[in-house]
Amino acid sequence: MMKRGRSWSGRERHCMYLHLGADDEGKVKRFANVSAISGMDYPEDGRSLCLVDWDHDGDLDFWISNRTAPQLRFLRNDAPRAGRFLSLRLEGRKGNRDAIGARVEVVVPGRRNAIVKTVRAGDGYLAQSSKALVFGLGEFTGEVAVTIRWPGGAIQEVPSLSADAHYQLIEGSRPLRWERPASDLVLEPGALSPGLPSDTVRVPMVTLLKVPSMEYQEMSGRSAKVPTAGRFTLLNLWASWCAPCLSELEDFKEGFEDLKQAGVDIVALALDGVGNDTGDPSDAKKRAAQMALPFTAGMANEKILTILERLHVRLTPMELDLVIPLSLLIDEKGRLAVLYKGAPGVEQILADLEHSSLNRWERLIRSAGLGGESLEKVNPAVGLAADQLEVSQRFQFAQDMWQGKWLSAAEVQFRDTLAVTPDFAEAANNLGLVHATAGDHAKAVVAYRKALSLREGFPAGHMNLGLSLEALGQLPEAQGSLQRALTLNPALPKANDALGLLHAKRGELSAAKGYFEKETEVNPDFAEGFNHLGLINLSLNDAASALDPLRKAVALDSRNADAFNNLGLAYKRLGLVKEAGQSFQTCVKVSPRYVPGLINLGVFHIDTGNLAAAEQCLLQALKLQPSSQQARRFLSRVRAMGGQK
Amino acid sequence: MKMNRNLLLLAGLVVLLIVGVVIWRLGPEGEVVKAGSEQWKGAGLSGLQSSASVSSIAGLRDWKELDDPIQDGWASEALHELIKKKLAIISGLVTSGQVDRSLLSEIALQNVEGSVLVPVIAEESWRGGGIAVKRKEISEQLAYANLDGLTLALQSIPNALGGEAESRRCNFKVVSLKVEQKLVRAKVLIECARVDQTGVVEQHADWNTTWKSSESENQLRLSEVLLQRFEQSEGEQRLFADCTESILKANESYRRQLQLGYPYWLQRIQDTRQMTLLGTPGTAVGDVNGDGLEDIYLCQPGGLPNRLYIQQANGSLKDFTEESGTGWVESCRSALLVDLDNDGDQDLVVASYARMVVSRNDGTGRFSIAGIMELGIGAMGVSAADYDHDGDLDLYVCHYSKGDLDLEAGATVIGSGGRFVYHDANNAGRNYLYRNESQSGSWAFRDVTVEVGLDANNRRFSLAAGWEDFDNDGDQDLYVANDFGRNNLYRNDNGKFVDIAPEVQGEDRASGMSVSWGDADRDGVMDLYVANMFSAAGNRIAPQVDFSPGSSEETKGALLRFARGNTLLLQKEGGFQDASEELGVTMGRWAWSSMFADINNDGWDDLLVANGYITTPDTGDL
Repeated sequence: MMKRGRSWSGRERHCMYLHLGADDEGKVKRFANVSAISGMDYPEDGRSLCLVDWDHDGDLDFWISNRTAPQLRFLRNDAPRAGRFLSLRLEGRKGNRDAIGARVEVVVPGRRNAIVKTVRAGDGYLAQSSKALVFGLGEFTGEVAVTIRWPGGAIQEVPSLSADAHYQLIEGSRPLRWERPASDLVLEPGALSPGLPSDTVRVPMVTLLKVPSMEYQEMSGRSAKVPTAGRFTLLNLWASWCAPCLSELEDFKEGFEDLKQAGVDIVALALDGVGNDTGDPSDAKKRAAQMALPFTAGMANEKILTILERLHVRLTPMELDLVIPLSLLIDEKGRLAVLYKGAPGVEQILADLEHSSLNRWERLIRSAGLGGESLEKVNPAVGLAADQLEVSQRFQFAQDMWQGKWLSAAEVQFRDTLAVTPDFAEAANNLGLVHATAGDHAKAVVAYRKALSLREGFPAGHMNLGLSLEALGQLPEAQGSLQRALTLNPALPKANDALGLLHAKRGELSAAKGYFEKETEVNPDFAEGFNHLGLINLSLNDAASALDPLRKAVALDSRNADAFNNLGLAYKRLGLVKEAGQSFQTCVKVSPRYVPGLINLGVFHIDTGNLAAAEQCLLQALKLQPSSQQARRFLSRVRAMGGQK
Repeated sequence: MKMNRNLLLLAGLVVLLIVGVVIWRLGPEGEVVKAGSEQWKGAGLSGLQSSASVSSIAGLRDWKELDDPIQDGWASEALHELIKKKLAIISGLVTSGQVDRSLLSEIALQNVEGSVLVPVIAEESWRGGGIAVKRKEISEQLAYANLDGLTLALQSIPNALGGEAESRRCNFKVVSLKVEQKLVRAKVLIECARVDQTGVVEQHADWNTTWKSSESENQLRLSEVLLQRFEQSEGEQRLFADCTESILKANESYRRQLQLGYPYWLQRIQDTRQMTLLGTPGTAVGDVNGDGLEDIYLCQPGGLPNRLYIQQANGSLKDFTEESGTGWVESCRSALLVDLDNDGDQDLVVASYARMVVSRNDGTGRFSIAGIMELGIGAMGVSAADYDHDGDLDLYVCHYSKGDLDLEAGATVIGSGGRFVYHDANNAGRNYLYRNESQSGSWAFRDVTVEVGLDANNRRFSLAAGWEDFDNDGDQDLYVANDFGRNNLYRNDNGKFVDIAPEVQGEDRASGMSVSWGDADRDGVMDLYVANMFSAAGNRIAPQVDFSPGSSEETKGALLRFARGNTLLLQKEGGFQDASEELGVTMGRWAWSSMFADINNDGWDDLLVANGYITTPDTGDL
């Protein structure tokens, strides 16, 4: 929610509670809420608060830091008719020089108890107040007695100090009056000048992610890819209805030669009609032709938008929407160097060409363009800490690519993640996952073994290894890995299912059944587990027991064609012809290209005498899978029956 | 032209789709007539798992429970939305100063019953320093049973505030809801103020309201309002004046960096760590150039340089960042200005998010790095004390993080050891105590956390710590404020620490955010003020029957306690007494730094609270 830029307990006003003293028994009275009177009740996201007598007038002013602007605010204490004060700056000698931990008691004649304060360094939230102590003396104007217990235990008594005075007190010495060097103070209340924001958002990257290869159509209809290796690419997103985009394209036109000579290719992709844009691609084509762009123009597509959106989310703190005009400066190694929201201008782009060739710490310094220095430059250990942020950004982007089924992009990103942190077991595991998904189980096994060498007790790693070994036909090893996964985590989702499948394949049906039962127990929301349990019961010729799990499977996943098919089979076995027919029909409806469903529906039609429908189903099955013997067999039966008629 | 382009830039927002999680489904080939073993072919991929799908940050999920209660289906929250709208109309009427009976008739029943809303109080409870406080703590009796009565009662609020409509404001917040058949009972917190040149008047009150649902289901009307507690304070002027501009205006970094908040910078930098999003502009005050005037150091998120400003003779600040060599751009959280080598100048300690940097001052405010110490991920507050009385300052750093990798950035949970429990989380990174072992000229700090006993109960989500000799035995004890659960009070026994928070009732199980020690009752032993969250939404939701249905009453109580707000613990005879509610100091909203400070120099410590969680142009606040 907060990443999406929504407010949460925002615009809250700071509070002040006034101490109203104690009653005759010394019991503290209820505080009064004087937040509005205090004048400190700004509706800002306040964080740290540092108390300090900035103007040397004997009362506590304070600095407050905010998450929102202003990041620093100074509030001068103007409390009317405030009490007298005693201000003390302590300096330790035997103990620490700052006298942190010194306890000071001030006895005010006529007051029942002493006022006690301690010198501290760091309290509140992310704050350090002044080490000078200010004691409020109320109406008292005479001399007070002060006792200091220095850190280390030495006690120093100072019998008389004047009210309304600042003293410096060195451990073991006599107190000295201290006055601020004479000068006229310039402090005055007033409105704050607003910040000076830049009108474009420029994000020079600290983490340099490789931009996945993205295919698009040029305006001519020809397919092309970004980025191109060996040269810089300025990938621009625009739309025909977006005036600032068109104006930026004119700028690019003007700067085209300069950019070209500097090694930058421009690819301007239009969004008209892509994603949830309601425009018409032909408008973009017309506009591009009108403008006679000297560089490549083409149409964006949803995949490109998704990739850019993921890059943006992973590399910037806020999960904000992308806006156009949007430009990405991709370097000659295919890495995203700078992201621009709004129109940065050609000069800025040319200046940014060196960005990705800088050290990470130099890139970090350039993030905000405010200068500064790097700790990493001084000490590489700081860089190791920075790596962790980079790793998590890379890893998450890799996950995104994997979830989008862009396997080669995911592979690149997981490899890059591992290049930064070779001992990251999850990344190694997920690299294996990418290989397995692409069907390359041999490579997958290597990656999984690497992951497990980094962390043996990694249940998902063992399970994935087991699945890939199984795919490679190494069944005993596969079984061992799956069992190891379950030993590490008996409730590991899908592990029992996988073991069940492994046994089922070998024909060990009752063993398989046990695993499927276990799976449905530990993972009761997993439709496939119930589907498999139903199927195994069917295989064990126990159609009655198959019914419940299969019903559960389709209830959990109403798009599971396979489960509907199996449910149909179960009904059929039980002689419930009508229900069987309904299940096969749902199956085909859910997945019209699912061959077993089509064949079974065809057979149902044969059984119920609807030969025309049967023929249609079986023909469709054969069309989808010409090698299907069963479809062919039933089709010839249909034809034979038709002939008999 | 330029302006036009900017406008269009905002108008040209393109919302993009996020690709959903792909579930691998390659089920067994259905067999047509007879089931057999060959059908299990190709089933392998169905079980593929990525670590990402097994591990998610449970903590974030739990936060989301408070995220959008209406969506989560709290019936009470839907009712709250209805009541909130009506209260907004009432507060508008009160602010305007013209309480219109006919508008009121759409909100309240014709026979609405109620008490006076501004009681007659003959005697001031307190007067001093230009402030007068009147209060009444006994609930009022019913005084009318019609709209006219309510109109008059409400009209008495602006009448008591005085001033013009523009100078008044009124804010109503529902802090608890109870549904009884056709009745809804809501406790409402009232805050009204008038601020103008002639002074300030503010009212704080609690109302018990009852709302009746009518035939049409979505209609609720006010049927009863009873004043429970009332406080009105008048001040002849505001206590604080904002002089920021006069102090900072001469610096370029003022308008280019400070006057642009995190919401601006977070679109431009890449510090994606969780705490950075929440805002960690830590500050330290100290005299870095030995001229007797205090200077200030500010920490910034990754990509922005930290800033050191030096106070000039005239009280203004001059940016000394570049000369000082301390404008580090790495993500920083907190800083201290302390003399680490006892040479008479203020050295600099900076907790970056995974490292602590100590820098030596040459006496003129120019620093050189003298050591970089390893921390866990997610360092927060630092505080210094000489815990072992060897004459130099040692450093304690709090940590707020979820594991070994950079989980602040939300990658995966690795080694976080079990499920995150919102109200009792104990699976974060450790806090560190670094002992100062510097010898003449060469600086050295050693991690002594384990050997001194500070590793006990040391996996909590700590934000702040404060040293104090709470038991007056002459050494420095340590209080640590933890989010999501209990705090720690480590008693110092000759340089070894024992966590005695439970024994002395000092746990304050809630969302600890800051620590301030002070002698609130002037009995010579230090008391504690701890920042927590005051959440109106949390107060409303936690008591509902359908909230967290699987949880025990104890857990629910703990969760409700989380929404109560700040805590004032008075130390009495070796233990702490929670005096927060009795003394009326819980309502600090979403509080961060919450400090004891005697503002009017009367010898009694008042309380200052900095608060506010996330403010953006959007207002989706609960």
